[in-house]
Formats: sequence, structure tokens, C-alpha cells
Amino acid sequence: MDDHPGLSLDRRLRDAFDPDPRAAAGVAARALAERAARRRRGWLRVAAAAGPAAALVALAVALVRWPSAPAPQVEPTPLSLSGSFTDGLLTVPLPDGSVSITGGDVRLDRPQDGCGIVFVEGELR
Amino acid sequence: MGGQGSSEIVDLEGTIAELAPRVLRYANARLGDTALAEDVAQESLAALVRACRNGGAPRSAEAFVFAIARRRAGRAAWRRHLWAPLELAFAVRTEAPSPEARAIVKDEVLRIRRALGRLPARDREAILLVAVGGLSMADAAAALGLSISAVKMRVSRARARLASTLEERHG
Repeated sequence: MDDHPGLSLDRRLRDAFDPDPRAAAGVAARALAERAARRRRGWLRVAAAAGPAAALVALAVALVRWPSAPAPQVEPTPLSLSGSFTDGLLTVPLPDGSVSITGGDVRLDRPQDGCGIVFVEGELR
Repeated sequence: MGGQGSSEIVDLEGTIAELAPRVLRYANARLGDTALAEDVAQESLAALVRACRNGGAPRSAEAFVFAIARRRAGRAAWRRHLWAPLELAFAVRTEAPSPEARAIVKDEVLRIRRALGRLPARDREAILLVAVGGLSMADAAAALGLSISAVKMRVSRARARLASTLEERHG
């Protein structure tokens, strides 16, 4: 196939980029051994990718479920409360017998049984 | 050119050993980076090994390997273009070649590289496959997805232009 007029030019090109024979032998050896190496690297890749992928999936699920989760139902209690407002403290006796003291730096809600938070909303007079 | 025209490669190791310097030479000419060229050559040859071991030996091992090498070299060149600014910014790489690299790169290689750089990409690709990679016209045509006559035309055009460029620079 080398009987074309560009023979010397082709040879010149080949000579210019001729690789080191040891490098070529190394490339050949590594290519032949590639299958096992690739398989090992494949497991490493799977393991390396699994962690971030699982984290991403968990984040995506959480982002989808969080806004779509139903908000807790808080039923308003139709009652009127009266209390006193002194020195920045609102003191309101609650129907269950406890007293809500709110204002300033103090927030003290003490139901008689158990514990919880009492939200008081209304018009201050 | 030891082409593998059959659908079975009897001596896989021999074929790989014969193709390795040629693919490496081709990748070296395409990329001008020994380490990158070795990666491209190795990946291309490994693809042939996998194909053969999985029972899917290609009709022409040469066309198969060089078609892969061509794609991978193209991708490697792009990656290098994309990463170069970052590497420069983080001082991983410097624009100026090292004294060692300067010593290794001969004038002849530089001259040929410049002449190749002046060829249209399509003609350059054809002559690199045929002249540097040592592919037959038929295998080069298969690797490039062209007709044999189209490859012949490109190679002939590239040879003429290269010869005149190298001649005028020499003279």
C-alpha cells in the first residue's frame, strides 16, 4: 500500500510522532488487563455514586412531602377571655383553670394538667 | 497493514500489540500530549478487548479502534480546552513548556504540527488516520463513515498541501 507518491511524506509524519516502544507496550498491556480493572473500578464508581445519589433522593422526597403534608388542624375555641394588662404583662385566666402570663421577657403558660402552649389572640382593652 | 477483515480476531494479544503503537502515534499527533495520548490509546484498545471478550468482535479491528480513538481524542481535546483556563488559574499548568519539554519537542515535530494545523480539519483527520495511524483507505473510510473515494480525495489533498507547506517552510 506504500507505493503512492506521498510515501516519504507519510514516513516523515510517522517518524515525527513515533511513540516510545515501552509506552506502546504498556498501553497494550493495560488495555488487555483493562477488563478486570474496569470491573473493580466499576464497583468503586457505583459505591461512590450511591451515597450522593441516595442523599439526593432523600432530599427530593423530603422536599416533595414536606409542603404536601397536611397542616395540623387547630380548631379555634369560641370563647371570650378577660384578663389584666399590668406593667407590660398580660395575665389571662384560662377556662381550664390555668393562667397565661405573657409579655415583656416573660412567657409563662402553665396548664394545670400536662403541659403545652396556649395561644391567646384577641383585642386588648 | 495487518488488517483484521474477519469477524473473529484469532490472536487478540497480537492484534493489540500491533495496534498499540499506531493508535498511540495517532493520538499523539492529534493531541500533542503524551499522557493524554496514552489514555486515549488505552481506552480505544480496551474497547476492542471488551468487544472481543463479549463475543462482539468487529469486522475490522483497525477501523473499530481508530474510530473510537478519533472520538475520544476529540473529546479529550475539548476537555483540555475547557479545563485549560482553570488549570492556569490554579497554577496546575503553565503556558510555557518546561525546559525538558522544549528539549524533547524537536523542530521537525513543531514544523509538522504547524503544517498539520493549517490543513482543514477533515483533511487533517484523513491523513492522520492513513499516514500516521497506518490505516488502509477502506479502514479509514469505515472509521470516518465516508466512502473510500472521499477518503482518497481528502488524503491526496492533504498530502499535496502538507508537502507544499513543509517545502516552503523548509526553503
